[in-house]
Amino acid sequence: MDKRMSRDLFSCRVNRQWIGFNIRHVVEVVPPQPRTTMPLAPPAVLGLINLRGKVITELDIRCIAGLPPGDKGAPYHIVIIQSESGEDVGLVVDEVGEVAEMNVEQYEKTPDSLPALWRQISDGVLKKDDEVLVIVNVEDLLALSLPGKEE
Amino acid sequence: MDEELLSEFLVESNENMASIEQQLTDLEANPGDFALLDAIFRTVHTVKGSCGFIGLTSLQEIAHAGENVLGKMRSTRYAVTPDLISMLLECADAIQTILGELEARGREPEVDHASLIRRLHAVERIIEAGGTFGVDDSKDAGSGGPDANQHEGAPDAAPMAWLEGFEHECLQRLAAAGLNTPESLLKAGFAGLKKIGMPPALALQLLGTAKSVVKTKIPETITAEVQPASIRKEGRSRIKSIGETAGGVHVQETIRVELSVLDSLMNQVGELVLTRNRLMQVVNSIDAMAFADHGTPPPPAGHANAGHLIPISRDIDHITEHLQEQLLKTRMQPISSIWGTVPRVVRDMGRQLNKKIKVVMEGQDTELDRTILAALKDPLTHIIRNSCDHGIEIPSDRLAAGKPDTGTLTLTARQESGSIIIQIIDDGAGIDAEAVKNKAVDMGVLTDDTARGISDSEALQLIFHAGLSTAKKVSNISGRGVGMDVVKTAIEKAGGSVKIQSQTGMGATLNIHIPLTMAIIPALIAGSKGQRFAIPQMSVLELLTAHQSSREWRTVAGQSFFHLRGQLLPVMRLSDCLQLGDNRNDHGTIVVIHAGNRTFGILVDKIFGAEELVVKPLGAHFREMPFFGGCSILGDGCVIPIMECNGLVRLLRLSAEAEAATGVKETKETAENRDLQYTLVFHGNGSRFALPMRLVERLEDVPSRSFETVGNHEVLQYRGEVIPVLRWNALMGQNDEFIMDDEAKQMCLILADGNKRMCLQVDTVEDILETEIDLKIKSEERLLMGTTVIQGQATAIVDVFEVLKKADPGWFSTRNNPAMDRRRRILFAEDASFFRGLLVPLLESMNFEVWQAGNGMEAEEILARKSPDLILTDLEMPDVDGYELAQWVRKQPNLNHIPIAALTANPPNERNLGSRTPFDKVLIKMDRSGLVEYLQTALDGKPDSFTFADRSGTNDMEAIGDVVHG
Repeated sequence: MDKRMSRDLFSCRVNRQWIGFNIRHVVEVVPPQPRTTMPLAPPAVLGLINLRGKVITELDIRCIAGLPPGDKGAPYHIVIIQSESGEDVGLVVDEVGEVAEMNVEQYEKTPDSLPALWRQISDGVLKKDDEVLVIVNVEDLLALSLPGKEE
Repeated sequence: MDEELLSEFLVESNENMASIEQQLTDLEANPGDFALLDAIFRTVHTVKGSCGFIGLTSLQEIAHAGENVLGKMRSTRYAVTPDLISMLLECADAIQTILGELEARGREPEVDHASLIRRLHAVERIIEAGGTFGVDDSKDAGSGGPDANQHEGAPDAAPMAWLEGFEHECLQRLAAAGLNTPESLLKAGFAGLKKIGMPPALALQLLGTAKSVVKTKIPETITAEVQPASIRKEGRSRIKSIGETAGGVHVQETIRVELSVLDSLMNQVGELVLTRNRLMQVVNSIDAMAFADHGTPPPPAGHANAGHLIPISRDIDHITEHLQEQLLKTRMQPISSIWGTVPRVVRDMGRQLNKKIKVVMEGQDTELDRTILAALKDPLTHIIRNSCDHGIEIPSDRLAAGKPDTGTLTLTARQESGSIIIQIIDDGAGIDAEAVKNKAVDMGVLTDDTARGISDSEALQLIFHAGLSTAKKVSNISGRGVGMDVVKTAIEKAGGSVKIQSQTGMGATLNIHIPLTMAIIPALIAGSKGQRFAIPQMSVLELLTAHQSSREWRTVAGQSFFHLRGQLLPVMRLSDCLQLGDNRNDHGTIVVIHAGNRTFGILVDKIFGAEELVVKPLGAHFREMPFFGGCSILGDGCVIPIMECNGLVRLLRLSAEAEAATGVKETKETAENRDLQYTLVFHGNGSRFALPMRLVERLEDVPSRSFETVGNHEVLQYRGEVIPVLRWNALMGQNDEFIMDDEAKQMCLILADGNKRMCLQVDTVEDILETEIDLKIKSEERLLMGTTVIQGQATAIVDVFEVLKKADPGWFSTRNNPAMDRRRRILFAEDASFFRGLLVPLLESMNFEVWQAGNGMEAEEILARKSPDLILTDLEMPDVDGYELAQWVRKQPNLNHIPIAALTANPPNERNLGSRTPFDKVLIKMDRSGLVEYLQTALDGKPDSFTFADRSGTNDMEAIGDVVHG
């Protein structure tokens, strides 16, 4: 396991997949905000939101991870994440789970069965009962959303 | 080392050293200025003195060596030479390098200055030798090296440094005996001094001084920790003594503030501005609701204090504005802070290139935001280097060209409506536009065809193109083809623009336009396809209303153009640029933008207004999108992208054919559109009115409290003048019972005619548009000329001259010629009734009898019957035009002596007038002062040579630009 990781994971659901972020990166979770769409922006960029005077780029995880687009009007949450470069970005998720200590016994390396895109952003998985939670590396996820790197 | 002590030392030394380059170059220019030499000496002496205490050995060594040279120069009244100044500058550089390193790393850099110190010692001896004494000491010059190393900066050859205050003669004597150092002096002892003829009292004094010097010198490092207290004491007493010498002079109190504190303050105020915007939006909506409700603010939902909300929010508005202004001021620094090094740069360049160059600087105290200053520093240096290298010629060439051998490089800076204009002017060889074109073709930047098509001025701008440099040979200063494009990029990054003008043989001028600050910018809020975008006002020239059906649209090679004042303006739809969806709608507003040396139009659906925006950066996802400059938050809390016009211009890719069409004058069109007028449409008294834009100098939102009453008249202070105020509603007979809030803004048109101004207050301004004014119904009302149709709506045309006369009955009287005994007669041929209506009253007010003709034919009929004193004719008229009329008149024996003046809406170009013109004068319509002036001189019998009375060729543009910026 990556040494940088603290033991707490923040879990949330995107489409039908539960994913977890290292809690270290999570700043806060906010409800939907008025959004300004930005023309010609990379496909993963939903737009810009104003969070108490701070302008934050809102990203669509579904788009980055190659999942089908969500239903229009469906409720969502914005997870504000701080990247290594210090920029705050908002990630749109369908449901927010919990903050849980990572159970080392449930940890497994990223299985080869995951789609290639997911393998690029995953730091491993947690298996619990029948559910699989993919641990997502925030930096890799953001790198994938940047222009010219959609591949 | 004591950190606090070190930082104090650094601050002090940096301050001292900041001016030294300037002082040295000044000294070079005035070799006899010994007061200046003293000042320089003291500066270096102070640096050396302070660093000795905190154990900065290498700094002390170098400062000491420099001080010695300066001291010697001072004592021998040595006339400086450029070589000497060069060496002293080198010494100053070395000191500054060490100071810089100390500041950055807290320790002295490990650079060996031994060679410089050796050379300084040598120079010192040469001065000494050249000064008073013979060959003895100059021999030592050669062996100065080991000598210097051995003594590690000991003042062995520096009588001046440690023997301050002793008589010159005494010093000479010591020097002659080789007793330069305190050590050698001590060694010689009393007997030795006596031997060289030193009076005993003086000898004792000398020995005492030598002893004390040697003492303080030895424990350099050991006492370092003990010293702080004493140096501080000295520091204080020094400051005190400065205060004392300053005497009663008031010293401005300042404190040092960390830049980061200022920056964070600035961010906070930025947030405050945004919050204020939101507050004002909410308050305004409450306000509007209140007025809808019978004009009384209702106490909403039981809040008795709600009525106070509006005045309180206005206070907040004002305080915020004030705060923002003041804070911006704290970030301002004079441009001299980056110009300080220019004389040095130019001097070094001049010597290197064997050119004589003098620098003239104007407007050094012009202030700019420090971030912009920092961004400008390198580009400016580059431009200056370029001007010295490529611009100014070597003295022999200059003399051959009939110019003084010394070239002049002029730097000017001035503020002009929210931006700073910096000019760098050289009087050198200039840039040959043809050479630039050829080079551009060689480099494949331009095709032969396009090169032929572009004007010289456009060709010159190509020097900013990457990979173009016209220097004949590559020097180590510039001419490597990199540079000017970097300069341009850097300036544009700072939100500015740069343009070059040049005349071969006469020199070149670089114009840099730069905003005062980048933190908060005024911007236009435009809408396209339901989205809002901010366009910085800095880049906006004017706004045009464009209708889908407008006759001004052209399409060349698939590119849309809008016909504007005889030129084709390429227009992009913002919705196309940003791929907001397919929309072939040509209706909306064209924002005319000047950026990246191009003028182009952006078609938007709507303009919401202007707002002050706090620029916020965009995230990493927008890094490769040069057309967004940042974003901001609007009053309603929404994020709005700010367009970067320099990036936007790159989206404008014109095909060669379309490129060729850009800016091309359509002469035929000009004729067709001759009667198009910039017209301002306003509301007042419940109706729609229009008046010609030419007379409107500016639109101002004036707070009610600014109006003052003098006698029965209202006046307004405007730009240092007191101007009469007329209220349109009152003129139209409506009594304004409405009592305005002191702060409520009132829309005012500042009308200007010649050097007179007045203010016309109206309810609202609807639009400024280019339209043909065709009077449908004449008016009985004295202040109105009649009614026309503008944009499908009946609009009354204001008779501006009547309004001016109403404001000041003597408005035109100063121009009347009281000497005119007989009533002069003018034949006025003009087909547009609008212009006839406009000018006839003016002519009549000048006591002319006016015979009106609707076209050239009618004019000829009148002329067949009677002859006037002067013929005034429109150039473009149906059937017989002004040109034909004039030629006919010239052929009539009884008429050919009559002066003929032509009136035209557009400044004529030489091609269609030429030298065989039948006119005595060509006047621009609406340029009343030009007309009045001409009529007076022409009819006083003074012949007037043929000139274009074009004093208003660009006013249109400026007037509209002003409106936009206002």
